[in-house]
Amino acid sequence: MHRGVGLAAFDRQVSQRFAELSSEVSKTQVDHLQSQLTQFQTALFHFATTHRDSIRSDPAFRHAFQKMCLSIGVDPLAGPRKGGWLAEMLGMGDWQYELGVQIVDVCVSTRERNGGVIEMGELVRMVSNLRGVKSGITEEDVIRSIKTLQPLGAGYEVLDVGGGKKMVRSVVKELDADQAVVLAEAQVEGGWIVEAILENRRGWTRDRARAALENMLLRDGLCWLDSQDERYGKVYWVPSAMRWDE
Amino acid sequence: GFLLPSIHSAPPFFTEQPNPSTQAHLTEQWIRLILTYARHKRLFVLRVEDAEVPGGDWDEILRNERINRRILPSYLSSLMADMVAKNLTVYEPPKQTRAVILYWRLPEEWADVLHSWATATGQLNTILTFYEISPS
Repeated sequence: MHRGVGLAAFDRQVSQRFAELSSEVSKTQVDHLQSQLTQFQTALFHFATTHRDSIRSDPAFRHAFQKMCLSIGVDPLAGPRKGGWLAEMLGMGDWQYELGVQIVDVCVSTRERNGGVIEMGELVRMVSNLRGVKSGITEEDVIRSIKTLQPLGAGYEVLDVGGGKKMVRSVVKELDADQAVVLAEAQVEGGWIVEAILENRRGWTRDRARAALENMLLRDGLCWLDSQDERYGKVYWVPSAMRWDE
Repeated sequence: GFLLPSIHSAPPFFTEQPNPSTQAHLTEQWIRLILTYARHKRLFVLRVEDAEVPGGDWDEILRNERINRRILPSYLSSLMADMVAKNLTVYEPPKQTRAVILYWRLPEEWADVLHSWATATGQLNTILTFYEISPS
């Protein structure tokens, strides 16, 4: 039998030619895509560096830039280096780190008072005070910064306790679901909570309410005791839900 | 007037806390408040009695009428013991625990103050009676 001649050979040749053709087409497409991506990356970087100062100083601009990045599928926090390419490109590394350090600072200094859980508004206020009058730090900046703190393993996490309120936890011990509810109810009242509220508004049993409150008080240091209340006798105050003026 | 810290408006501030680390934090706040107030009003003596009976020099601090709270005598007594342990006050007269003298200036600092005053008034090396030194 001869090899390479006849109809079978023709078929083989065609498939071979087609295979070559298709890989050539893919290669062209891939090359084209590659060059488009490179162009795009260059344009984005150019935009970022041109507007670096605005991104650093103007929270509204920064917010819009973030939104733009996310809508085109670019995660500014991604990348092998800490803080992502955003940090590298804009020299925002320092800025991010400084903010991270200040957040840790505030959390640690208020930990004795609130047991390691601080309300987001208070955190933003205190960090802004640290930075001075024209700081323009937003909740979004803080949330982003906290994401980069996660590798620390110290438990930095943003918690949503409902009613549009967020808390930042800075201790390893996680809040259990009941504690989150207690925090949410305390927010409603401006900081204080009693067993009766949990029983009436949440349908808890007395034992469940008592256990949650006593654990928060004695075990976790998340609230303070007031034993002079005329109406309830024993009232629990949650410092992270109270307004502090310092 | 004396500017009270915001923690003074918090009802739980007037209750001794069962959680030790919370209590340590609040004790610090109380001690600072007591010493600052003493310095401001030039008060030297603090007594458990000041928490038992109203109308004394310490009412502004030991009570908050607006929120209807006051520090209980037992709590004040613990705070005093804490301050003694930290060398910020001494029981005076000794061998009792109901009254202390506050060192909002350390004795060494007082010595300095007296010395400066004596030098300024050219009375070093003279003998003075206690009454001549105290303000009239």
